[in-house]
Amino acid sequence: MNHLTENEMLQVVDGSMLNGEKTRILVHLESCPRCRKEVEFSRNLERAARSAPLSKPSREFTARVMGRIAPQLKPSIGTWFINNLANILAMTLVLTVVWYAVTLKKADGPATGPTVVSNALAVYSEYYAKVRELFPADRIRAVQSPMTDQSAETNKIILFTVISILILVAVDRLVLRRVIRLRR
Amino acid sequence: MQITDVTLIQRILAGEKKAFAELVDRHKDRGMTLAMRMLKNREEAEEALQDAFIRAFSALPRFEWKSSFSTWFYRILYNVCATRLSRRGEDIHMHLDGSEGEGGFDVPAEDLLPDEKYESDEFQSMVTREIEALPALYGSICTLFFMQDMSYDQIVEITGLPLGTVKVRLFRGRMLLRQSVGRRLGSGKLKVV
Repeated sequence: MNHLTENEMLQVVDGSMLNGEKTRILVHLESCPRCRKEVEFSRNLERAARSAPLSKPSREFTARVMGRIAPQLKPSIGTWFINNLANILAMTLVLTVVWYAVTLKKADGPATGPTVVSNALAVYSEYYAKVRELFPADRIRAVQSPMTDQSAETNKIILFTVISILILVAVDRLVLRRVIRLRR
Repeated sequence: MQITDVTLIQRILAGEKKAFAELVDRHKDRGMTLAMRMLKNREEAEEALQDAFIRAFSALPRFEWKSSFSTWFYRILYNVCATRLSRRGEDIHMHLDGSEGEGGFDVPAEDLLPDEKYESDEFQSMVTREIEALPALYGSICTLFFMQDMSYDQIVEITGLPLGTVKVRLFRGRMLLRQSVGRRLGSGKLKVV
């Protein structure tokens, strides 16, 4: 007895037997337990192949892909605004305080520079120098207990210390963001 | 109701970044399976899959809607993996000559299992291991055929191979799988009760 060929067996499994061959193959299967068993084996094998578990990439895979495509994405103005909210607030505060300092200087006397910017820089430099000068122990105590020393000079020291911190925060944030972007 | 790939693509093209993450989540496991069965190395497969997603993202504005996203994406992934294989000196695009087998079986019928054994986890694991071990040439086609339930036409579209080559490779892959599982059964790795 001639058994089914591999090709004929797969045709039975796929249900793709040619019309002319179909009757012969089916008649053979009726009378041949070996070929029936082989066909059954193939069917079960392919059923198992179809339900084989999928391989999974690592947990952070999607985040990594999104990180790599981030520079290609053009964010909307709203998204850009939210992402940069902290920077915008910090810079607004810095500018407000600088403007306040310029106004104070103008109230003290005539402007010394030709422009508002150079005035602001000059005022900031002047007060920053004072902070450095007054930084020693007695002034630290004065800052720590403002209720006991309410002089205008102490207030200015606190003010410009805050400005310095804000500038540092803004710079740090910008640097940090760049480093993160480069790592991606 | 699940959002379709088409809707997700429209959202991505409208600038919604999160939608692409959902598309990645939806296709990463099947993509990883195809990459693993072609490259046989987890790290390299993950890199290839990542490259394929990034290429797909860049090419998304040029997506023509002629085929489904999955067919289009697997074509990109298949090409990324094929390029990596050719760098290793393995040519997955070579055309095979010869006809589909006409020979008889080489799995002795007495080694075949009673019906209930086919349902066992052990049999499933054995088949999974043997599919993973198929050479990339056949493993890729068999994976698309079994895992994705893809038609010959879709496999032709993904691989860029002629229909005849796809048929021959699929036939040989199925026969190799049959023989390797048969050998395992014969060697008593899965005992017949």
